[in-house]
Amino acid sequence: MKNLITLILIILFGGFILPPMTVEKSNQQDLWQVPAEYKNLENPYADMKDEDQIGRITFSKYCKSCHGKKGIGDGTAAKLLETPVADFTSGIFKDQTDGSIYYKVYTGRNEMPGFQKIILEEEDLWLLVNYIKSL
Amino acid sequence: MKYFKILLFVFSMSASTVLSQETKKDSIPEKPARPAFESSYLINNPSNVLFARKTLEIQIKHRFGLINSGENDLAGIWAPSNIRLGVSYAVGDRWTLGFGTTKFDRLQDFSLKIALFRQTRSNKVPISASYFGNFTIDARKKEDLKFDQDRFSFFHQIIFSKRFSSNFSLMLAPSISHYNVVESDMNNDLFAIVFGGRCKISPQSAILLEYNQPFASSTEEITSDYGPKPGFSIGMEFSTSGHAFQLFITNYNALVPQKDMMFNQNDFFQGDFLIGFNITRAYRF
Repeated sequence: MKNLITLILIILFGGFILPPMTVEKSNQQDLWQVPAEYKNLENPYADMKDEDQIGRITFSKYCKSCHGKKGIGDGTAAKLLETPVADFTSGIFKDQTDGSIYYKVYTGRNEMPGFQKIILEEEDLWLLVNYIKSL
Repeated sequence: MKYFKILLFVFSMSASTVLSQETKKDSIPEKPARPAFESSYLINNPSNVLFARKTLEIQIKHRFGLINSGENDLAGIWAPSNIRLGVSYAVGDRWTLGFGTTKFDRLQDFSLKIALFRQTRSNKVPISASYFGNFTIDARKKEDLKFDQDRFSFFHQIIFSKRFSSNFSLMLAPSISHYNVVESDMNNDLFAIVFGGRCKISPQSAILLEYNQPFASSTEEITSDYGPKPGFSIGMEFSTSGHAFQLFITNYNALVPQKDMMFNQNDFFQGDFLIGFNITRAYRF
């Protein structure tokens, strides 16, 4: 009888305690390794004035839904993702080279799509990099 | 001799000075301008846009009933509507094949679009031109048509467009429509011109406008009241990374261009217009 009561108590205890112990989503991204050739890649459009706002238009069309209007990772689709969405205004992000950002947009990773088949113009991709860095 | 040596020295220096002015942009070869329109259709008419090779585009077009039909049908939304489901595939960067099936008259259209020349960013080539053509089969029951050839119609169009800025583009497209079989007081062929434009109001939305003027004439010795009415459409376009949504009012409801141009009797400015929408989705492989 004593053993039965003990067993029931253990089951009840486990039933109340274990479910709330869900895995919390980390607010930090896993480190994204960028090949050296991209890390050191020079941005040929770094000083270009984007008069046609190609960077802004491209960001609005492809990035805003997840990264948010201001790039802080609060887009409407961000809530649906398991992976934390990068904050483009953070110091850690801005310390990256232009080539690193170019690589990440180009290839993508996990829930972040790669845009190599979507943004076909290299210039448009660099202008997007410029715009992201300006946020 | 002394002056000659000085002149020679000055010329040799100026040559190197000219070379040093060459910038990275000067050495970049001439590039095509960015697309003038977001999707392969403006509203009813094809645009000059061709997608990159291996792009599959799905097209859904819907036209509700006339707003002024007089029936209790929620401005034509509950009225009989016309629908076209279509697909196009970019075989190359400059040519696309397409197929569509339309509810009214069970029209099956096979199309080809080719980029003839493209506007460049420097404006050295100031406009783009594409050819669009289709061959359409009326797939209704045999009882409705006497001969197999009666089912066929053809459409040929050259689409000229210009992207003036990232926010503003215009299009002009003359066309020839041909029906193998028409009423006795009609010509089998009809010439028309489409004029259209897009004006962006935000990075992802734009106002669209399209006007189609047919030039129909009766056959000789027969007078006719026949005369297709011009087409007029105005609406909005919303684009995302892969989709373009267009919502508009128009007086065209045939969904196959030659049928609209040859037979439309809806007069927009007499209140004969309807609500319609187009959805396109591009898949890039």
